Amino acid sequence: MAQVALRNIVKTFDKTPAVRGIDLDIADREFIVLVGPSGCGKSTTLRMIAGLEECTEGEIYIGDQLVNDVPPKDRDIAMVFQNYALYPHMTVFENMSFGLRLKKFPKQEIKERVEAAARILDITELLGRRPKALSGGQRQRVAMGRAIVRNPKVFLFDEPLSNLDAKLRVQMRTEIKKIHQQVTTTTVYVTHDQVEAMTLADRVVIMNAGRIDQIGTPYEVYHNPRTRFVAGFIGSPTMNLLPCRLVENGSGLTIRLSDWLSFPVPPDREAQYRPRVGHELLFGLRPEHITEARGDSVPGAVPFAARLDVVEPMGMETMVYFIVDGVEVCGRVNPTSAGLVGESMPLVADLNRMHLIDPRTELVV
Amino acid sequence: MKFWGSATLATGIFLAYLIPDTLVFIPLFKTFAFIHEKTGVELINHWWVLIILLPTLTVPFCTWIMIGYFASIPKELDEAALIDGAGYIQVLSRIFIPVALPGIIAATIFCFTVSWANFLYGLAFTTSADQLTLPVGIVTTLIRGDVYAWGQIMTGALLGAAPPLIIYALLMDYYIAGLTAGATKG
Repeated sequence: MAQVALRNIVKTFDKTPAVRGIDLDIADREFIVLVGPSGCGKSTTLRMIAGLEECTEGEIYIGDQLVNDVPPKDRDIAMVFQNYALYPHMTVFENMSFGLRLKKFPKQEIKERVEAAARILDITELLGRRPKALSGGQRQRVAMGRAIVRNPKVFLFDEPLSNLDAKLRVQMRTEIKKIHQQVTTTTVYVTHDQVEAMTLADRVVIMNAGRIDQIGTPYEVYHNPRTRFVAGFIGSPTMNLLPCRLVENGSGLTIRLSDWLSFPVPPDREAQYRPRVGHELLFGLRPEHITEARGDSVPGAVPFAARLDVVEPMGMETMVYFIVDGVEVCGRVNPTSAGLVGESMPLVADLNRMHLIDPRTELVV
Repeated sequence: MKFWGSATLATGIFLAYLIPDTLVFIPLFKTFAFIHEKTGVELINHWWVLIILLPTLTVPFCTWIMIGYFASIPKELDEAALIDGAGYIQVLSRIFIPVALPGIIAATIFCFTVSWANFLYGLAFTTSADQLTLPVGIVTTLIRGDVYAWGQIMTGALLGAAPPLIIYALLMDYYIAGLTAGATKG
């Protein structure tokens, strides 16, 4: 068990920067997820923690030890790879016990540890098989088993679910969460799937172009994004982002989205937004905060009507799309009250959940 | 595994292999004469010299086969082993060599066949009947002018063909695995 600290980590590959100076403190037993699009440097960061890549600049601490020059085998970490990386010539038991056998553990202890891990992962009956006789999900369990038996200071996961089909991925995601509840070890998990990030993490680290955009609990990064990138990246369907102009209208502030659509700024946000009056900004609102109009009026909820462009029934809810000045906007409505394509539907926008983004700094105001 | 200069070395081996062996045996002859002159060690007309010479033909080609085979092994495999606590030698001995066994066997069969059937070096470097290799011996001792000792030639051919046949039969399964290396994901 140990905390991990990254201090101003920089990594360049042949003058191409992959990681541009990140600082991160991971607490003991914490489950941290690094998330971001392809090429944002998240896997490189993980590989530097593992010792598979050297960092160009900066310091990495595991526990209290500076590990920059410590080889991977002495870092006391375990890693699960995207393509499992099981040793094809060994049985599941041999795969899982490889690390312990290298460290010359007594045979009885190896057997006990492997069997205990196999029980957690429900792969006891597979211990005698070779990897080629296993399905994708079983291989992934074995790869996790190989990490668990070592009882390392830190678990590192490099997109472990990307090779699985959609259904199995959801199932394994829950399994990983359960396992982390049983085996509380500091975990760094890399994924490009924001749903995995949200469901697994104690804290999510959102990376973009080699930098950390935001660190926070899943709730924080979802409801209080700090940058335009985070606002657009987290959440599915993504947050609606519309160009707007903030104007003063005597009694308060108004967000002008188009000739036919303007929203009043909620009174408690006026002071915060007043310095931006007259600026061209981006208005952000999540689809679930654009819903069908109900009879009751809630403070901050502004009714409006829009001509529907596309209607997507999802079963539990229906997605409705309409166009505001050439930009497609998505709302999530109750299936029973969804309107028809081409017709106007009464909707309501919950402006208590709105965000304003300055397009020049890309920061949320 | 990547190491400093590995790409240059691989290219160097490839370029060296482009030189035909028929061009090499005359300079080799001169080299042997030079060694004999300086040290008194006679290298010509000894069958064991071929054991030293023939690998100059087979080792570069086998190196290329093995570079391809090792390259087909996913790099995560040695990374996983490094993280599991193995050093570089252990990664090689406990992961790479067992995983690459079909490739090693394919290379071994190739080496054996090329060396066993080699005619040129045997003809050039051995002369007396007690030092000749089988393919050379059959041709040089059993054909006298236009007299062919057909019975003995055929017997010799059968004896010569037997060892490769036996080895192929024993290692066929591995050999096929070696030929299809990289066709499927490991």
